[in-house]
Amino acid sequence: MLTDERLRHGADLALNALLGVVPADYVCAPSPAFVQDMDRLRGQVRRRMVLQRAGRTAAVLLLAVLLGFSALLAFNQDVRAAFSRWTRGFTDGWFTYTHIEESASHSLTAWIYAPAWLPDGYVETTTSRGGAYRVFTNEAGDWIAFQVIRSSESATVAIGGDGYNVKTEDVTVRRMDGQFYLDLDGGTNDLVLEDPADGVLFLLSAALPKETLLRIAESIVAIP
Amino acid sequence: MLLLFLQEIEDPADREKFQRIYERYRREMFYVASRLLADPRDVEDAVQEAFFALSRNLRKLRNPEDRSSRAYILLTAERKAIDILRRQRPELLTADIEELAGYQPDVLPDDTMARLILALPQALRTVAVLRYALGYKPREIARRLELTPAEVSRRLYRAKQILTQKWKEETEDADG
Repeated sequence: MLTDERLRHGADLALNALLGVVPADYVCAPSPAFVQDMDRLRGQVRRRMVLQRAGRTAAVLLLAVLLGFSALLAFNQDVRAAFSRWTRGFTDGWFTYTHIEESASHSLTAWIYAPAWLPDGYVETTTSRGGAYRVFTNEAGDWIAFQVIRSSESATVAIGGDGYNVKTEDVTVRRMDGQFYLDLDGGTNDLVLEDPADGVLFLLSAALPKETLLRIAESIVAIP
Repeated sequence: MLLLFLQEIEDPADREKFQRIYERYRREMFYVASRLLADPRDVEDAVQEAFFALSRNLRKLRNPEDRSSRAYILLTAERKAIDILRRQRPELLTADIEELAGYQPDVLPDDTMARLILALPQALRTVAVLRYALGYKPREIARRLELTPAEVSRRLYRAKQILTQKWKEETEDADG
């Protein structure tokens, strides 16, 4: 008969075997592109990226001074759009949102955002520094994740991936356009909204119905 | 569902922890992924996705050097490699995907039950190892693997079913 004790002992030995796999002569040689991506994640080139962005922003502002900023925006609607757009794409099973231009037309406020309404029982359990990422959980262990991506962060957000069986629906909440992603396998649903006024992208994820996620989104407030 | 945020890690303490994980485990993660994927570019993609996943879960890795963290990190690399295999084979049905094997160590343990566990499909083996070797509760496994608790319970049930059957066959063979 298979006892839990036997199972635990076997699993322990199996894990030891899995952890001892790398031969001494194995050479790991990642490509320069991989190292560059990892460097970025590790924050080692943060300063260089900021300087590059500052350089481009300075060029745009100089042009604005020469032409008059409002005249510049009125001159070409495409230019205006380029300043504030998150572009949505679909690649290899992933829905992506990428901010590809500097957001020079915005004041880029340092406001903190948070939902003012949550379903009963949820309390904030995780907050990143600056409040860009918040997680609310209830006693049952269910969670709601709220993320604010600023257009100044040159970030890409991707939703989906392997085996993501999803139905998307365009939605509008308080003049913010976006998409609701319904997980047809009954997992976590996502709501993505773009706030054109401040150039930020809001992401809400939870195993909650659309109506509840929309209600949470409607309650998002900016704290100056 | 999986959310992937390609952005820098905000907290300096988390960044330092991530740095330690990167230095300590990069080689092992590459090796694990290379056991499942032939193309070196796919191997890099798997390891990169694993690092992104780990960057979102740094708080859960209190001590990156301990056995539990090491297991979680390597199993994450394995899981991401399997994800890539699945994406490359869209014709696979859900049932087939669940049968995909994980990486195998070169030296198998003598213990029968350990061998049976290692022979489980990756999707079942990961939850079985986290549950029985490291003692994680199903809800914690669900959080770490970004699965629903119900799905974790289902996989644990199925793993135990297979192990019970195989154990019976093995012990009967030995007796008979």
